[in-house]
Amino acid sequence: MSVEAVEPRYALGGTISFDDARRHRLMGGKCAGCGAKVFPKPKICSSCWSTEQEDVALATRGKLYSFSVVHAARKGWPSPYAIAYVDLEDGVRICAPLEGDVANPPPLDTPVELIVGTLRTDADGVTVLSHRFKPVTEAR
Amino acid sequence: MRKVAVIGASMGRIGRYPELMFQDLGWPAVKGAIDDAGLERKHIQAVYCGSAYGGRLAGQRALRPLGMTGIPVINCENACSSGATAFREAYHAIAEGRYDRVLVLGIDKLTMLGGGVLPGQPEDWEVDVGLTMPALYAMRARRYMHEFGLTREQLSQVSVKARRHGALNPFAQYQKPVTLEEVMAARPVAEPFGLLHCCPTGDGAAALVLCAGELAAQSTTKPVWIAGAELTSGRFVTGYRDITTAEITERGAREIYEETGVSPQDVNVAEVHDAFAIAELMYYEALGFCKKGEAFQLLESGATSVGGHIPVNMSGGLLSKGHPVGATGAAQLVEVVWQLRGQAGARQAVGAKVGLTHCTGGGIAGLDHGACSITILKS
Ligand SMILES: [Zn+2]
Repeated sequence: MSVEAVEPRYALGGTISFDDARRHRLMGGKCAGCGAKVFPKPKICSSCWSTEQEDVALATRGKLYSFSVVHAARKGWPSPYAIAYVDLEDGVRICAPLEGDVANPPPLDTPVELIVGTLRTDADGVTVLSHRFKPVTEAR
Repeated sequence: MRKVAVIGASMGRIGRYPELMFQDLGWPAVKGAIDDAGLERKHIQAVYCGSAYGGRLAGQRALRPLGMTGIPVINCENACSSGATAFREAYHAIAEGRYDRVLVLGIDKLTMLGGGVLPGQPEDWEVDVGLTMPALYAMRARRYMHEFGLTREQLSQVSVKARRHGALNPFAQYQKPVTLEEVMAARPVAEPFGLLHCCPTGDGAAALVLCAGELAAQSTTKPVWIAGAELTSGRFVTGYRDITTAEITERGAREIYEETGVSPQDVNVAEVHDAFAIAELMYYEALGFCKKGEAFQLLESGATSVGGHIPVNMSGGLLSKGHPVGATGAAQLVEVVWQLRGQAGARQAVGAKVGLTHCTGGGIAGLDHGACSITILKS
């Protein structure tokens, strides 16, 4: 008897990959026309209209720009949870859940780093994963 | 461009009316505005209807009970700016000579959605990881507090003022004042916001009749003139963005002040889009009523309250009057028309001659907001 492994679902398809050391990377697009880095990767650059967009791993560290602890969530979302804007070191701003104790959130501008974790369980009972950020604990 | 006047205005009390059909929410406002203009339905050549959640043919559904179809009905969706977008299109249609008399309707019935947080934008990469509208404004609030030293208690004063004004407005969803302690202690929605920092969901409809300037005297001795009606959309920014600055409102305000020659100091009464408490403070700044970072001082001085020099949201605003999304822009315009005619009862801004309405909204990733409408009216 074999149990079929259930593939994880990602909240945003194609945004998570792994580097050679099996560490998570958050993927965006880099415009071949003007060099703009954008998350998620667009089909066309909103600035120069180039449709040549390369996959690029975004910076995994950034600063906590702002966040909110959400108590009134949409149906099917466990609450409370913290949602944040993170400014990555390479100039990209990402909206992502903030990991950690929602009763003791970190101050704004705290350095944070990428992790991948559970976002919620969807209507089919499948775990949905997404990029998340947590305060940096160790020095680089 | 011809001059255009508002000659009729009407709305019902905003509230939760799950038992009312959508059409029965709408037609009383339409009939009220036509009666107010002293006209008959045959005089209306076209209808512009704004609705965000009403679904297809919102205008036709609201007009059917009055036997008013058979004319062009233009349905406009622009999230919170739907009603104001309809008004702006109607204004331009008359100014350009396409019609002489048109009706504007804003309508939405949010109780159809079953309550709770409004559904997010589909295919939105921020909504899909958990962003909600209250959370978006809450992040603005937290960053603003961080940068300008605003406290949660100060933020809560916005809600206290809104409810104080709403208590004077028989058309408001909430007509009961609240204390600072009640605002501070209300159950959390999206921190730092509690329930009373957020507008309620509700149902409502508001309607206005517009006509070419030369016809206004046939209807009323108190026409309200449209000085300008601005509409813009948010710019798409992919990198860092200052969310304590309301980019779309600041740009829209600059454009309408330039177009009309009206300056922020000339405005005697304003209805602004206070969907959440922080929004009112940000819009004082974006509309030029005060400098960046000084919004709370303006509120605290009483300038934006009944009797102040720039009273804002005399209706109670979205926080107290309510926010039936697509109806809001039209409801704000009805309020300012009443203010400029001196018909606003206990909440009247005495001697108001220039009024401004502002609504903006629609959460869409990468944009400050989806749409922003600003209108300037004169008595
Ligand atoms: Zn480009």
